[in-house]
Amino acid sequence: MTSLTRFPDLYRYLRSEANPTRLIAGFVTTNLICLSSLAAMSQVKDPWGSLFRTVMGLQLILLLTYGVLRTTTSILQERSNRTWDFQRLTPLTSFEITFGKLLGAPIFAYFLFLVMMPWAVLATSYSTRTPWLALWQAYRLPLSLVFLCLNLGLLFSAHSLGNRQGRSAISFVTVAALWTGLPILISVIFGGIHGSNHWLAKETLSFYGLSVSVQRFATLSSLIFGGWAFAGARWRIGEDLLEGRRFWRFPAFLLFLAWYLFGIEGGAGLFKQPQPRPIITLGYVTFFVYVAAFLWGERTDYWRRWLRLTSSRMNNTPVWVAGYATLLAVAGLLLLIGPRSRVLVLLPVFCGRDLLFLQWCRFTRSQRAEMMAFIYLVLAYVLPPMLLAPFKLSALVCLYSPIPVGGAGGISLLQNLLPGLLEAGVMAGITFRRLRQTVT
Amino acid sequence: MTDEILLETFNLHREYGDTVAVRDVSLSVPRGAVVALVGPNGAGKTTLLKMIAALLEPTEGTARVCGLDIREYPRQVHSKVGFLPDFYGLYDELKVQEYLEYFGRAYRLGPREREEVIDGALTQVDLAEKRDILIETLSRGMRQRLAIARTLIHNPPVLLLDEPAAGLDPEGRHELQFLFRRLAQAGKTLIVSSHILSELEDYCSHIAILDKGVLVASGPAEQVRQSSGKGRQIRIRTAGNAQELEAILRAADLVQRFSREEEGWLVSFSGDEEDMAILLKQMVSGGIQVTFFGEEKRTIQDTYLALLRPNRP
Repeated sequence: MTSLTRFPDLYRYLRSEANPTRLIAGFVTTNLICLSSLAAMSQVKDPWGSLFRTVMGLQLILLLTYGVLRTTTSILQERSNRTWDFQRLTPLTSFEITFGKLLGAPIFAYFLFLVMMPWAVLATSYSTRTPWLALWQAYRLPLSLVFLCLNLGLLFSAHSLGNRQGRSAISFVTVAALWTGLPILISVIFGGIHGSNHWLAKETLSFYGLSVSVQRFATLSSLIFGGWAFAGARWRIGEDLLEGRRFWRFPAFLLFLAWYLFGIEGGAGLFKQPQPRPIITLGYVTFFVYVAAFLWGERTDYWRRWLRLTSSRMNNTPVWVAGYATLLAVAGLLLLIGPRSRVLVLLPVFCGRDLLFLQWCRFTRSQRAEMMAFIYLVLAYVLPPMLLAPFKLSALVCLYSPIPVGGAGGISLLQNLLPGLLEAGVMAGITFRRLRQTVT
Repeated sequence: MTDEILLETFNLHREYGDTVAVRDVSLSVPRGAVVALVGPNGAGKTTLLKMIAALLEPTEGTARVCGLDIREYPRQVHSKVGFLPDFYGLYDELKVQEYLEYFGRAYRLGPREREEVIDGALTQVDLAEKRDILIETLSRGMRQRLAIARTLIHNPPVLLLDEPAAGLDPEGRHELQFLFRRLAQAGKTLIVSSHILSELEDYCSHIAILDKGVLVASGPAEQVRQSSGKGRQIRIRTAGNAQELEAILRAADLVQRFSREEEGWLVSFSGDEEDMAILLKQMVSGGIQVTFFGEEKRTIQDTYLALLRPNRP
């Protein structure tokens, strides 16, 4: 079976995106741009190095903008054009659909990337004695970041299938994260042809006692988390194809994330660990639990069906419940391993309160439950400090949110914990009462 | 049509929040049947079809399609059904042939088989001459036929068609009727949901009527028609004598109700054929100039209205 047969989306995208006219126009235009760049740089000090940086910059910007846009809109478009149901009815598996979209949707971007490669090879051949090594060192980190971004786009697109309100609430965070990553990418690009001399290659950090260059670590991390993003997209698509949920998927990602973050023991220079590892670890795990809780919109009818199930109930556990259980487990483990921090106790309590509030919003008749919950939660964390500070009542913030640092004269752990526990308890009572009403 | 049950639902129930879209629907469809699924807007027809096609999980209950449970084997059910939604999109940037080629590959057909199947499907929907045309240039009727061709690619025994005639001109609807007859003759089992009840009349063998998520009636068409109203419908046309006729009809014991319409008088009559003959004799003896007297078969529309609005005369 050829790839065109196994991944029919490749066939479709080849026919629509890679028709002869488009390919010829792209080929000619791209080569003209590279030729013009070479002509323009003929007077500079290092023309071939400059050409390489220009070509590589164009390639990566093309993949990061057009390529990521294509994966991000791949399933969004299927749904908005009402072609998604037809795909669901075919025997295509979630892997075939996801991989087909990863290969096929940005296919024109891949084509232009390859058209520019000979120029990059030419530039390195004139600039160094080890052109293939230089190419490998220059491209590995940027391409791994591209892989991560393409898969993040796919993950984002896959979540358009379910909860649109949650997607709206999270989308600006995603966009913000991608734009924050661009400066990093630009600095990587200008590492250019002398990849081994790039400042990222010189810095090191320690991962579970193993000293590794930041460049290599970032490359591996991008590939691994790109793989997780792909898996996440695939699993989400699989849910829509009724392939069945598995309760362990999201917890597995959270546990891996906790293991990964806890292992970064810091290094020298810029990568010296500024904060205790347990807090950073739990902070990121909590962040992803919030993200998942917003993205998966399990409303009244889902809970009704779940509670009436006679089999596979564990596999169909609402995602935020599985995620929160994992959060508690990670917090417990970090408390055992140490160094201990009050944040490890406070964060799970306040997070639990917020997640129960989100679920309660979903049990109401509101059409925009996630947006409502998102706004309320943001205001709940931002407004009290702003309102209480002029009256020198900032200490009362402990009633609403975790205070990470106590100390002499400050808010004690118990003073901060008790209100959180009370609020979480009240939210649990309200939410479960609402749940009982909706189920019966 | 055989007695083998190809599709069966067991208390299918679906809720959206607090709204019950489909309420405990149980029906059976034998192999080769053409089922007219009718009901007002919001009756739950689309939700029911999507559950049967295993595109939507039921809140409760289940269904079996060709022996496969939709809850346990949803992906296998997909291979047994061809589903045409009421609102759908096509890949406008592809040509007709390429579109079916894509789905042929998606259904894992080999190259030679794909070619045969695509040729057959295009011939069946009368689009063979349009195979190299871009989809975005097709008319509404051709797009509909192409979408139906797509449902036939994997040769499913069951076709679920949700409002297939919506938006088509009279000629398009007429062509579609012929197509459905051909499909039924080819042995397919069809469930067709539609508002245009008169067009379902000619080719449906079974009727299922949904109202507010509840299955009001289902079964063979004749059986459902009979159950919708007691007795017969008699059409009477006269040359004048309206008052005299009205008096006779009021006095007749077996006349349940009557109304004067454009096409003549329509009488609900609970007697048999002998009683009909007696009524005719009474009319003629009473000096009524009868120009037409005959029993009128209940249409799907009559059945539908009688069941959904029982107090309507």
